[in-house]
Parts: sequence; structure tokens; C-alpha cells
Amino acid sequence: MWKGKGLEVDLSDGSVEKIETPSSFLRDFLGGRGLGVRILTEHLGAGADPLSGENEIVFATGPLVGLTPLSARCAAVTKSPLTGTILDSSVGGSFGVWMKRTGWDFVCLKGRNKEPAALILDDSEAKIKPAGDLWGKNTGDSFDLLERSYPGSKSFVIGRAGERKVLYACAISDMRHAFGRGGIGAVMGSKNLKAVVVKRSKARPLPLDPTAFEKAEKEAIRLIRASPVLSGGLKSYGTAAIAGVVGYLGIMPRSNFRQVGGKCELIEGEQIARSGKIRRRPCHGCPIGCKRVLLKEETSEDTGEGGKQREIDVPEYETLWAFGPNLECEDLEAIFEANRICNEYGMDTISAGGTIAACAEEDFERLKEKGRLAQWLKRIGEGEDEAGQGSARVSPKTSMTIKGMELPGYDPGGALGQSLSYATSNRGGCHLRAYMIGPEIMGKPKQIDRLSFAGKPGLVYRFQNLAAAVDSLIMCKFSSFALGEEEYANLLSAAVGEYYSPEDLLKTGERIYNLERLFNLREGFGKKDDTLPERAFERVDREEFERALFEYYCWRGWDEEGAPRQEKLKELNIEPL
Amino acid sequence: MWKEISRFGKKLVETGLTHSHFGNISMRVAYELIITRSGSMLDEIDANQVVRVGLFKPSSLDILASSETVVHRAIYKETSALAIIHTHSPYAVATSLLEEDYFEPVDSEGAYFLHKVPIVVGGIGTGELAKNASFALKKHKACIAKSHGVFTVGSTLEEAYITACMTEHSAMVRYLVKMAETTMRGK
Repeated sequence: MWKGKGLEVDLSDGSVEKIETPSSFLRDFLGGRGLGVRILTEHLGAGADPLSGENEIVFATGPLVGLTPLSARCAAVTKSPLTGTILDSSVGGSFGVWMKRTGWDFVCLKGRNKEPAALILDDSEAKIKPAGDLWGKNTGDSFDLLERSYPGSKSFVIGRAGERKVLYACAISDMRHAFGRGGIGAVMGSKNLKAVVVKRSKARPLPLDPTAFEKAEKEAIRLIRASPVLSGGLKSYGTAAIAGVVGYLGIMPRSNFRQVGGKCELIEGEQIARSGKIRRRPCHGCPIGCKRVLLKEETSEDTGEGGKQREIDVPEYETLWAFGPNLECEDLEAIFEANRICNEYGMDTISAGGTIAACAEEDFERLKEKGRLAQWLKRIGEGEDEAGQGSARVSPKTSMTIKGMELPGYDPGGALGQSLSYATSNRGGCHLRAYMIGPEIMGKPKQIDRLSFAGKPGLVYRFQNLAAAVDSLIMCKFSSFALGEEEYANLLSAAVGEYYSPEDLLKTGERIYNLERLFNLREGFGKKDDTLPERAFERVDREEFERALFEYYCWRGWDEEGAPRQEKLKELNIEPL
Repeated sequence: MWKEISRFGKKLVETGLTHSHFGNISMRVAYELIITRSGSMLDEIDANQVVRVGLFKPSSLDILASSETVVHRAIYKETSALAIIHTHSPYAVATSLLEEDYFEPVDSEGAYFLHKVPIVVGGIGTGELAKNASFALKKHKACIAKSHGVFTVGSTLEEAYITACMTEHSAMVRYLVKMAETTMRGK
């Protein structure tokens, strides 16, 4: 459901304005990513410096957040300092639910604080409070202080990487969940915004049609339980299970994409499970619980006391790959430590690993020296290493990026639909825009031939639209392994009391995607950027790719240069920027 | 082994025991099982349409395996089956909706070989179905998941296949007899 109200906060003068969320924004863009994109494109002019006070960040919840399992996320939309494109990101954990309970559809932040500050939200208002005591601290220490100051609250913070404007710095919530990719943390750092805190609220969001919602939710849960991806591999081993699948199918990139193939048992779920006691740490209300921690007994030598247990975050597949096979690293402890450092400093692990890979690819052996990777990451986090600028800037010849964002651990040549999805992603080298890994690798919703471009442009178009809608509801991306547009539309209709057909939902996603595209076109992106890194064309036929891209543009209703035609904008009810 | 699975997958579809996209087949190999992939078509199985997953512990490749893998695992753990076939046989499914805990075949061969066929409850791919089906198959060669489909076991795929055919045949005969009785009573 929607609350119909939001906050506009000017950090420069400390003013907070409560505003009514325009109903057309909610109806046509839903919430989360869509709402953030709509607001940002309304406010932000062309050419804004992402690290200036001119840039804005919109944090938004969605109509399903807090109502149903797999819906605990919060979205953030801004202009990326890493890529210069529009950027949306979302964080799991519990923050989204807490924010939803306060009743704000969105919070839009602009300007820049003169001094470090934190934004404190509750049901009725937002306040900007000094955060000098937090500034300079990494995320763990920041959370400790905030929990003492605001017991029972939820927050997200930046670490020293964000303060030092590492271009792929992220914000961290609930100790281990990240607004990842693209540099949300750097934007916050540029605004001297250390944290956003949401106080506990007693309110509970409710669907407007509880009977219909109960029916739709029951159906969704039934499908989630029956999904082998969700209730099989991910539930058993978290996303490390994906390492097993990617290795089995021979599409795991290695050594900065110089090689592809082979298994890497070191990072597979079964191997990690053998490394100790593993516990789930699910997002709020999630029955799957893909996030894991390893419980480590601390000895009296470590702490002076005996029998204490420490939780060590088990990295996600993308992180395991980025610091593992991508760097030819075979030391699981080093990979875990790299993940810990990135969480502490607040850095995106895919970009960190990808940048290090690009810089060090001539000498991975040296990187294997004990502690070297950890030291490098800390220097990046402290703003003392140019690798904090991202691989496209510091090592363009070996950089595996698209639109400046580093690629994750799926070989473009091993899943051609995924390669097209990478190239046409509005935020750069991201696997989640269409997540063609679903049908091409996991066979969800249906298995398709991953080594052919045939039919892929239409599928990429469709899945990008669906993903944009799902990111706006906001439901966890993994839910799409079980649910389709029909289930999402039923949940949405019951939640907001207004009918959305499956086609309406897809159309909404298409609208969001096109608005993002207009933003990027205005920033100078175009067909030349809808491509793959040169190295990828060693395994992807360039001519076939170009034909697929052309067909994709046709599906999108865009011209030969990848610009939406007027008829398409009219159909989607979008005004040119 | 995928070739055996492929052979019987084709037979299941050709004989109408299940449609191409429904049902699944597995064979046990020591401490693992080979099972059809989720979304595979049973009449087009090749080496890429089956996966090998652990028997006693979940595997990463469960992501690719049939959504009923948890049921197959439970059956192998609780019985001495070496092969399992799961179909969505229409008459068996219909019978499961008309009866309660089991149905008794009325045809002589069905009665002789199957005795009673238990009807169990549990959603697709759930622990509940795994527990109920595996328990039923300790004592019977076939069971029907209510409103869903048939699970049969055997020491070979052929044996499981024969039981699947027999179950559907018996369910059909029983259904036709009941229909005829109802029609005659109506007159």
C-alpha cells in the first residue's frame, strides 16, 4: 500500500519539507526504483556532478514492502559517481520494513551538510543531527554507536570509503546488507551524510484488500516453496550454491576474464558449509535466508575470555568469485577477509575485486602473498589508492566494465542473453537488470539455449521490464525464480486496492526503463556504450551481437541509435527530459 | 544412465501417463541420485537435462534439479528403491480427488500386484509430501499425491514404469466401473 507522503530534505540549510507524493508518480511508477527514478529525473538537470550538492539521492520503499515475505527492501536512486549513469540500488535486511512503518513513501536528499550529519526519521518527522562522533569510523563501530543512541532503530551508514569518496563506496545496513554497485556511499560521503536512521514504529502496513491479498500471498508462498532454486540450493547454501552451478556449466570467468571454465570447489556452498558452523541471517520475514554467517569460536588467546562466538559473514557468490577465481586466489580465508574489509569500509565487492583484477592481472602471483589483498583493500578504503576510482579510469585496457561498472561472475560468452542484458543495462555492468542467468543457466522460468542469440532480444526486453517493476514493488530479485508477472500483479492489486493486470505491471517496468534511458542519453550515453568489453568479443560473435542489439532496439521501440521514439514515449506517457 | 532416463521419459509421454513438461524421473547411484532437471521435457532428455545431486545432503545443483528432488531423496532414504518415476497420470489424479486415504484396484492384475494404492497429501516439493510419500512407499509400490500425481518405485526404471502404467490402468478401470454403476443406478 502507499502512504502518499514523502520528505524532501535540503542538507545545505537543514530544511525538511513534508510533501504529498503525487498520485500519478505512485500509479505509474509504483515505488522503490520507479518512484526514485521519477523523482530524480524531475529534479536533476543534465550534467550534474554526482559528488556535488547538486546531486540528489532518493530513498524509497514500495507498496509491497513489509506486507509479504521476500519484501523487506529499500531502494536508493541517484546519479552514479562511478559511471555517470542513473543508478538505482536496493538494500535487504530490515531497513526497508522499518522505513515503511514510519509511513514515508520516499525521502529525497539534496544539497550538502557543512559538517558530518545523520538523518533521523520517525513517523512524524525527519531531523538532521550532527554526526561528528561517527565520522571517521567504519560501519561496525558506527552501528554500535547508533544502537546505543537510538535503541531498536535500523540504519544504514557509510564507512571510511564513502567518506573518502571511493567511487564504488556503498552504504551498509544491518551489518551486512549493502546498497551495492555504483557508489551510493560516495554520494552520501560527498554530502557529509554519515547515516540514515529510522526509529522503531508501532505502525504496521496493511493491504487495502486483505482477502484478496491473503489469497495472492498464499499462492506466492506455494510457488516459492516449490521452487528448486529458492527452496533447494539457495536455502541450503545461500548464494554460494550458484558457484556450483556456474562451475558445473563451465561459465565461470577467471583471471579477469582471460579464461573461462572449470569448477572452483573452494567457493562452492558445500565446501563453505564444511568450514564450520553456518547459520542463516535472513532478511526480515524471508523464508529462504540466503545470507549466511560462519560462527567462529574465539579462544581465550583472542579475547582473554573463553567460549565467545563471533559471526563472520559468508560472502555472496559475486564476492566469492570477485576475490576468488577472478584473482586466481585459492585462499578461502583471504576471500572472507576481503569481504569483511569491504563490509567494514563500505565498498562494493564486485567493483573492488574487478578493479584489483584489472590492475593486477599481470601479477596475480604477487597478490597471493599473505595479507596483500587485505592491505590493498584497506588502502583503497582509506582513499589512499587510485584503484578507488574504478578500473575504467585506472586500468582502461584491462578493465572489464560496461559503462564504467565492473562485470560480475558470469561469462558473457557462456550466456548470450546475459551478454545482451549486460550491454543494455542502464546502470552499467550489472547482471540483475534482466537476470538472464535465470532462464539461461537455472532454467527458470524455462530453460533456453544459452549459446544462441535467437529470441534473446525479446526475452531481455521482457525481463528487464519485469525486473524494473519488481524493483519498484520492492520484492527481492530472487522471488522471480518462483513468481511471474501474474503473481506480482495480484499482490500489488490487493495491496493498493487498485487493479493492475500482468500487462500493466510489465508496462510500468517498461516506463521505468525508458525514463532511465532518457536520463542516460541526456548524459551522453548511447549506442556506443551498449557494448561489451573487447575481451568478451573473444567469445561472443560481434556481428551476431550487433544484430541482437539492433533487434533489441526494435523491441524497445527505439531508433537505430538506441533513443526511444516519440511514439514509444507517448505510449508510455513519458515526457522527454 | 541418462539414456535410460531418456528412454522411459519418452515412453511416459507416448503412453499419455504424463505430458512432456510434467513429471520427473530419477535413478540412485550409490550416495547420489541422477534426476531430470527442473523444466526439462521428459520426451527430450539428453545428457544436459539430468543432474547428479547428493542423496543425504542438499547440493548446489539442487538449483537445477527437479522441484520434487526433496521427495525423491526422502524415498531413496526410506526405501530400497533404485529408481523413481513421478507422473501426472490423469485417472490416478482424478481418483485421488474422489477417494480418501487409498484406492483399491478392482481389476484383477491391479488388485494382485498393487493391493491398495495410498493417497497422500503434501504440496509440490514440500517436506510434507516427501515425508508422506516416502512413508507410503515403504510398504507399497505406488502412491498418489492428492490432486497431483503418482510416485512409483522400482529396482529398475522399467519396474517403476510398469507400476506407473498399472496404477493408471487400475485407476482408469475403477473410474469407468464407478461411472457405469452410477449410470445404471440412475436408470
